[in-house]
Amino acid sequence: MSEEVVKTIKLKKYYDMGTNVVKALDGVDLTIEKGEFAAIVVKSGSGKSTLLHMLGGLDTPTEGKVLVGGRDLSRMNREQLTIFRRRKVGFVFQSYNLVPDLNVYENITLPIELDGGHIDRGFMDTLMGALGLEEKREVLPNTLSGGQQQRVAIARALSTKPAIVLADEPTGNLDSQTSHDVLGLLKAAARQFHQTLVVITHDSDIAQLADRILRIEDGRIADRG
Amino acid sequence: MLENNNQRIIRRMAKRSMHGNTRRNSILIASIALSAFMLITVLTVGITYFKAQRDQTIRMYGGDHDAVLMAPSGDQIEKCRKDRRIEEAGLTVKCASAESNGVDDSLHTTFIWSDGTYWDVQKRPALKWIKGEYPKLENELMISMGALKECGSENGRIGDRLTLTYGDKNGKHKKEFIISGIYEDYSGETAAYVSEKFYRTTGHKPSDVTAGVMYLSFSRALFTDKQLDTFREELNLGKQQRLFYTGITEHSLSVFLGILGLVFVTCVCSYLLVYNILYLSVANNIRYYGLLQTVGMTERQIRRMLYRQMFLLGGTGIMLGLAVGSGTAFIIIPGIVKTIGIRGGAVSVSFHPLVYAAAVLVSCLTIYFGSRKPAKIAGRISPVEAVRYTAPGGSRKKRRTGKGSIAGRMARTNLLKDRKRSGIVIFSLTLSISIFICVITIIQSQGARTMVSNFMDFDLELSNDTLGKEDGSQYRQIFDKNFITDLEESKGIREIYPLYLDEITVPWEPDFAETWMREEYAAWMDYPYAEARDEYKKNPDKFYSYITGIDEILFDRLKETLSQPVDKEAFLAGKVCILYRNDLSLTDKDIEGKTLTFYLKKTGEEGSVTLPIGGITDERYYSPYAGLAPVIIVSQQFLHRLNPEAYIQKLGILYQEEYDESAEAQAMSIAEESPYRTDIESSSKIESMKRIKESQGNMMEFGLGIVLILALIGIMNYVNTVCSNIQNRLGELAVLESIGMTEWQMKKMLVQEGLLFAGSSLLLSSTVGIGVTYVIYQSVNYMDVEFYFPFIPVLGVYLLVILVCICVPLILYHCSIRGKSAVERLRECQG
Amino acid sequence: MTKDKTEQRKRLLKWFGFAVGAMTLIGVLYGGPGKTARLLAALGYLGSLGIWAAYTWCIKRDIWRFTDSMEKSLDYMIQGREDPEFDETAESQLSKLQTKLKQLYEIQNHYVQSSLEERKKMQELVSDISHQTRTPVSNIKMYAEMLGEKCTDRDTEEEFLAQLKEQADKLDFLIQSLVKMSRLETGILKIRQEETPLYDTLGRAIGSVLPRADRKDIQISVDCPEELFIYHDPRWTEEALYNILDNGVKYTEPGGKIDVSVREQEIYAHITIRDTGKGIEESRQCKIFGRFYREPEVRGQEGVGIGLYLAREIITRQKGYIEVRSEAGRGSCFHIYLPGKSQN
Repeated sequence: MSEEVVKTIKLKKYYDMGTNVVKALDGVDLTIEKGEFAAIVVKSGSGKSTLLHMLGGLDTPTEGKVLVGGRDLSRMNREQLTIFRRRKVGFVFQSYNLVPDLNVYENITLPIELDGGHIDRGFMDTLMGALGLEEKREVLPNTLSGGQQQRVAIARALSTKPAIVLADEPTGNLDSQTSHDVLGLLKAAARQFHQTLVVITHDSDIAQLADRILRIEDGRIADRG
Repeated sequence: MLENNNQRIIRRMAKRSMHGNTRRNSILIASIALSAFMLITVLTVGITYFKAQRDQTIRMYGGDHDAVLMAPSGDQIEKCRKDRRIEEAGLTVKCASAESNGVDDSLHTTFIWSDGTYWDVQKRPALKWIKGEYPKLENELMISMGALKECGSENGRIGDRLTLTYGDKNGKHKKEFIISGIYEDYSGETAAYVSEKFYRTTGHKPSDVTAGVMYLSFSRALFTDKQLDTFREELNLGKQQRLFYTGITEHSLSVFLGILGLVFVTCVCSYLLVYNILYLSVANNIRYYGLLQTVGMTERQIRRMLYRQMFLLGGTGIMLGLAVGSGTAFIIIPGIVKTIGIRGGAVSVSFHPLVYAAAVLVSCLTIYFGSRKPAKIAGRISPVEAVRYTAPGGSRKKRRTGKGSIAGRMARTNLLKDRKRSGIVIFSLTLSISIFICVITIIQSQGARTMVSNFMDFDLELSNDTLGKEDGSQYRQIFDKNFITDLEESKGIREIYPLYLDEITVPWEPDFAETWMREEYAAWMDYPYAEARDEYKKNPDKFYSYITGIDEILFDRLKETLSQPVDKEAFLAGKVCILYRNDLSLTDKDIEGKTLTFYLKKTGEEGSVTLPIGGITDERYYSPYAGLAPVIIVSQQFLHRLNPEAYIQKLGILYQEEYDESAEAQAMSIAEESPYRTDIESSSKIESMKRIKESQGNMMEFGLGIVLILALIGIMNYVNTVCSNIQNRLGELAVLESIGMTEWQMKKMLVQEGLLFAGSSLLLSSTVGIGVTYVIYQSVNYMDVEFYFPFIPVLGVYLLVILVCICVPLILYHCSIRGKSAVERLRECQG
Repeated sequence: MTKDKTEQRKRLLKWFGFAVGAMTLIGVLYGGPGKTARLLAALGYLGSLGIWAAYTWCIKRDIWRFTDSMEKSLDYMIQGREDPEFDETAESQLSKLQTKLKQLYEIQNHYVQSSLEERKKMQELVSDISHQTRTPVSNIKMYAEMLGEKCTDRDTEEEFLAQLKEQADKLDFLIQSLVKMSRLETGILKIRQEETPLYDTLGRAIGSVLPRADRKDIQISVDCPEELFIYHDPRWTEEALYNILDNGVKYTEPGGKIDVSVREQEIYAHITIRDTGKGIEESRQCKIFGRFYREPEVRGQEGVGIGLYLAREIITRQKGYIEVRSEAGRGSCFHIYLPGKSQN
């Protein structure tokens, strides 16, 4: 049983920096299977988040295609992409990106509410329980520690039970203990809801946790782990 | 498609994100409230003005109509009734006039027939009260209180009988009438409305000169002069026909335009502010909006969220503005309306629901258009851009090293970094300053007018009103010797200048008298001179006029108004006379070498005098009453020679000291003691000064109010821009400080930035602004007052603007630093 | 295309509505007996009636369309195919529900697939175990027979009895494994968490593994705070820890070492079990927790490959997780993370 959830075909992204062109991605072909936990280890600095942005439809490739669940992202317009993200992709950003005006609970349920969806309270309680956030429910993000904010971000990414969870250096700002905690949570949750988890990191220690490790060097897939 | 029901979160987020933005929101609410307030005030002033003007017109003309057509022909009546521009066309015919009731044979009551339109629609608003029905039978009358009084039955009731002798086209008749109705209107007319049957018997037709009158109510409130002229042409008026516009004047059009202009400027100001504030807040929150997009908020949802916010803020602001506006309207508006030219009586403020609707609508539109672009920008932000957003880089890639000190250079760069924003702020400041210049100029120039309000500059003028009566027998010499001596002896009065007056007749002669009368009729009368010439030849006494006698000093003043010099000696010796032009199109050429023959009414034809005409004046002071024949001005001594008992019409009084209230009190008490005190009219410089000051005060308040509100909006815009500018650059400033920029240098940079803002807007407003002011001034200047540029207030405002532009950034800088070290701030900004 | 059109129509309707509303408002405010006011009021009234009718009709049509599309999607799913008109990226109720439906369908599919696969594995295992039980059973039979013949001396008898006991132990182990597995399969594994010291649980697990370690001369050192109360199920956690320790003992050469340490972290209690065994190849690291996985080299040895699977299952059900770090030949290190506090 192997179903491709994410597939890129000759994915290229060049940045024009005025005097020279930076090739962040230079023909990346990868497939990620359903339910898989894949870690993408990127060595060079510039293309680190680019791939994840591309997979989530945040950015458009210079060349090549991204297929998610069999659909070509480049065929969608902006609104479709946004709705696609809202329903199918959960993002965990390195810098959390929580909405400062909303409290923890509202932040977590935001993607559901944006879709006018029904909030499954039981599930929310489980999620927040699993992430140790139930006491922080009404708290505003700016009073939380980095680890707590990251957990809120993870809860938000998981709240819609998206098919794919994309995490960009989810542990970038955390100490190594907390990073493990956070990653463990992410993994446990993904397993529980049969989600595909893609984590971008430069830390191969963290990558060890994954089912599969993809290394990208100089904009290309280096080897498969 | 069934829509996705995801509105709730948008509503909540809109509400939530407002809590964090107190400064921005309070500025927005305040400015929206101010503009709503301003809109409602301006619109209420407009409506009240027009309503008061209409009331005035109604009371003055005894009916609610916009134009009067005298002696309409059948075709014209048809045309007017069919014309789309005309809503109502009422017709009346003065078909007879009552002459005698058996006791008094000098009745003025006219019998008028009116059609249903005029009586029911146009006349009704001018009635104080009415009892009974419009006449149906031939002998029925709807009579006015005035007429009833004149006919000697003051207490007459409906059903009473009244026997009157009246004259119509067919001659004189005596008839017994039954009163079917009584009314009283504001003009106090003496008239009786009659039935159509009666009117048929009189033989008058609507087209008869002085009989038929058509009253027109236009379907629109405002017309341009051109449209009015076109309408006049279309009617194809006959020579004896006249068309007056009663309800419409250019004055009301200019007030209307002024109000529109103010509404427009207010809207532009608040549009600029709303736009700028939202634009800034979007630009400062690019990360936020991008973040929302990554989480799954669509462009449409973001736009909706912003609109929602503006809806809440705008709603609050508008409500506030409306509340304050309606609260203060009662206090402010009557004053303003009086200032723009409605005199007399209390002005009742009219609140029209439409004003509210319009104010709300206009404010809403302004807010909508102000927030449209920022909302679009917020929605268009690309999520990736937002995720790694740091600061607007600007589109330029290179930058030449400039000249001058680094502080100045950085200030300039910063101003140019976001040209659009700087432009908006400068524009908004310029607008405020220009409006100030415009208003202050108008106010000041009006002030100049008041200084020469009284031609002669007399402190007090007393005039004899009996001389204005129709009946010569009622003339009285009020200002007799005793009266004058009393005045002369009272303290504080320096000099008295009497103006003598007597009635004269100018007999017909083919030369000048003929020319004059032709002109006179062409200008003033409803029927041609040709019809009157024979009568004039036969009965010149009916075409009486006046002669005025003046002394040396008055002559000196008079001389200044003449275009040709007149020999003083000759004038004083009674060898030359001067005429009052009476607005006729006569020039010096027409009088050159001409003589005028006249005789006093008192002495009759035997006392005929012929004098050469020395000049012609436009100064009304010398011609208190108008005659058909020319009014002649001669020297006092000469008039005395003709009639030693000529009446003194006017006394011009000068006090020892100008504006001496005690002298005025004495003079007035002398006038009060006179047996004819009711017939003495006084016109006092002190009084008019007070009145003018009062109205000027209102004008000043109103103008300053407008200026203040607009200035506040402009300054708020500036403050807000500087505020977010500094907030944005806190990091940059901290970096600068950490690499060695002293606080002094920093402040210098900020001040220079402020000065650049101030300088550009001042430059713009003193070139374009003053130019526009001049144009506006000339177009509104219906009183032909000289343009006067108020240097001192404008200079004051310039200084104020410069001060604000310097102080605001400094204060804000201090507030945002609040004793934190550069490192701390640096960390804050990067964290 | 049609969607755009309906959108356009809706927008038109909206603006028309605004216009009518404004007209009515003006009409009402204008008041008075004016002709225009009356006309406006009448127009406003008629207009709002029209709008109401049009709006009702639009909503009805939308609902019909919605149910139609939903029905069609469901029909496709019943047939096991995908709806070609599926749109997961539209801002509409239909699209939202379809997306959810698809998710549900896929998860169900996933379960069906994996249970099929498990059944296959189970069959293999049953044959494997039955194959494995065959040896001890026939051995027991054999020794029993030999004892029955009574022609043996005392020494031989004792040896046979020892053999008999060993074979019975083997059988017992296999049956125990089968029982555990069936429990797992039928979901009998019930976690009963309570706030007890982790020290005790760990102690018991080490106690059970100690005899075998002694036998192989493997030293076990423990570093655990005694006062660490953790919300966990002591019985099953002991089983999990035992399995991991047992695994360690099994793959460590005699004379090796096993270090156990426990540290408290923000969310989890972190238990590290480090051995000096032969290690696990990186490519196999993520497979060892799989059910019935056995290292190729140890195929010959006894065991069914459910020890680590069970351990992970137990830890995961307590909302913790487990991971392994290892390099071939240098020993391996198991990290167990157990949530520290009650979570419900």
